[in-house]
Amino acid sequence: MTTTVRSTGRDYRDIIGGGVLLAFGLFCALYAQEHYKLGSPTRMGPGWFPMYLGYLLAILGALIMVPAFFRDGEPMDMQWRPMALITLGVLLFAAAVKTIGLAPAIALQVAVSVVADDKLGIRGTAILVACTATAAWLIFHVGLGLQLPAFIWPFEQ
Amino acid sequence: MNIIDYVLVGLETATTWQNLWYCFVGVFLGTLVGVLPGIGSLATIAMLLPFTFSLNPTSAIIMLAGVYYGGAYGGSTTSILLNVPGSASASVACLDGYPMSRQGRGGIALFGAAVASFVGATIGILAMMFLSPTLAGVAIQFGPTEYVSVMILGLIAAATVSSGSPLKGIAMIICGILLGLVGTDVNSGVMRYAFGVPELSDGLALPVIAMALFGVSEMIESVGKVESSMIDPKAITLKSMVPTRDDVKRAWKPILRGSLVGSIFGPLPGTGALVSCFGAYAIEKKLADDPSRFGKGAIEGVVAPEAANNANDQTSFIPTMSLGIPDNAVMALLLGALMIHGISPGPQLITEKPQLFWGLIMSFWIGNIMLVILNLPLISIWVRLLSVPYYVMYPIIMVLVGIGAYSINNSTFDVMVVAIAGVMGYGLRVLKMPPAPLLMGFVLGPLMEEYLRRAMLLSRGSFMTFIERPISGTMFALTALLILWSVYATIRGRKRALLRPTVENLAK
Repeated sequence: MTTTVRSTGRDYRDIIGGGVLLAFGLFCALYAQEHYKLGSPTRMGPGWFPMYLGYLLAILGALIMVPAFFRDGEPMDMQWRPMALITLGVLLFAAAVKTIGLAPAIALQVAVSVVADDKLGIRGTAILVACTATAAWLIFHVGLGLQLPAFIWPFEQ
Repeated sequence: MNIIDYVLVGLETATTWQNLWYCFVGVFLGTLVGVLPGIGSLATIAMLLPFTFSLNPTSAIIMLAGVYYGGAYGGSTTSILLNVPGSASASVACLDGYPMSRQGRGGIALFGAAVASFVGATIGILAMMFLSPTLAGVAIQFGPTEYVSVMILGLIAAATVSSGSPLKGIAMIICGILLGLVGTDVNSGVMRYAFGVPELSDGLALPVIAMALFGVSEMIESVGKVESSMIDPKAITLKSMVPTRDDVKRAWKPILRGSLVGSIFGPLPGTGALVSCFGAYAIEKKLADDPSRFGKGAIEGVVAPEAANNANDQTSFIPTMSLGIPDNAVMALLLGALMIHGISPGPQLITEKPQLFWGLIMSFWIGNIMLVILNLPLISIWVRLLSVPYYVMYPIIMVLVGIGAYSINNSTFDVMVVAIAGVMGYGLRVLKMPPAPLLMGFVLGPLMEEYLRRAMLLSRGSFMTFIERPISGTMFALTALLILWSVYATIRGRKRALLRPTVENLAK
């Protein structure tokens, strides 16, 4: 990730950030207005509190966003690769843990996560998978009694 | 019962084998994550939380609290030896701790830090013992109106006082409150923001949000950026830790002053450990005969912030345990943990659950003794751990996140929420939106709505009640002042907060 200092004329970080807050606030407020009873301050319905909070958030979002159009900002630094791979690892774990078991789920997750920072080779990954899976099974299944079998054979049931 | 009886009740609770064990596990893990960069005590507490569901609440809270204050000990170790702060507040310990190491006095710095931490914690614990019951005695007269005002003051203070952008901080609180409202509304039974997903009827799980905001996103941020470090563990022997007579003479007053600073800032919302540490350091530098020694290995510059750090950590439990209002994100998480265990936090907690409250306080002491042992004679173990490269560590932590999320409800739904919320949390990091106020809002949001409803019912819908009632009015005036002050500070110098501590400022 290179951080070159250059004048962008706009602070995109706060434009995006403020914009997201503005949108999220408006969404919450309008959704509450649309779907929940608002009631009165004396007898608040389920929609009263979230609606006002939503509008308040939208105002704050605008206050963050608007000035950012008129000033320079620092460039943003995204770690795309770690973000994608670490998230994918968690999702794979979620998909695998109840279908093929704890050990393969851990293997999948570790194998994918490791690629986020490509320093560990295949041999290292294999050792890490074996150690993590064994330790996790011992600690969580045997030690803490978590209902997670190490292996599930998905085709036999 | 007088205070001695309570102390005895507390000791009896804290010294059962079970509680001693959980206290040890807590401070051990705390030291561990304090030493390791790229994982903080917040994420660790969130990962542990699901596994405490089956414990009794006292043991659970003793362990989780141990992670928090144990982190302060571990954090200073890497600051002193490597100039790498293991946690944010430990960055002050780098200023003089690392120069001491380079002069071959690292052992003395570590010893000084451990002693200062212990003294700071002890003074903080004493402050908690005497202040909490008093504060709770006052707060027991609070009605819902006062509660709403105190909550707002606490949240606004936490979001504005030491943050870079007060606007973003307040926006994050509101985001947190809105996320906290997901699920069934207790008053009407209506499912809010669940979009037909049955798993959301109980709301988003607190450990899930905390793990995503502070675990997953931190991991994404740190991958490829954290370097492992090698230190020869043999270089730090017990013998090298013995301070000279001059060191002792120089250090004892700064330790006491630092403890005082930490005990004052600790219970206040918004002034976290970082502010305490910087305050203590700045005071020592002002009082010193020869301020030029600071930054070049002055022992006062190590012990005073360390004492302040630990006094701050212990006294930050005061508002949480006696009012039910957390003053930082970790306290919000612990408060949430209490609520998950079916304990409603508030001023009645101390009198209704004396075992829990006094047991926790006594466990602090026991935990701090354990920490001194863990951090002095066993220091070489921690130093060795630092050589484990981050690219081996983060996949293991991610597996723990997955298992932790799964075990909340034995459901993969929570694991998927962790993944999605983790990406969002990383987005917040990139956009420089502080995640701590979000977590606080998330925990306090439902409570705040409930109190607001009751307050409005009592006042027949008049919002003037918040200003007319004296305690509430004072709180609101303070909140208004705080907002005005931070707006003024933002206009004066953009991105300069009220108490924005930076290492550069101190080193001047």
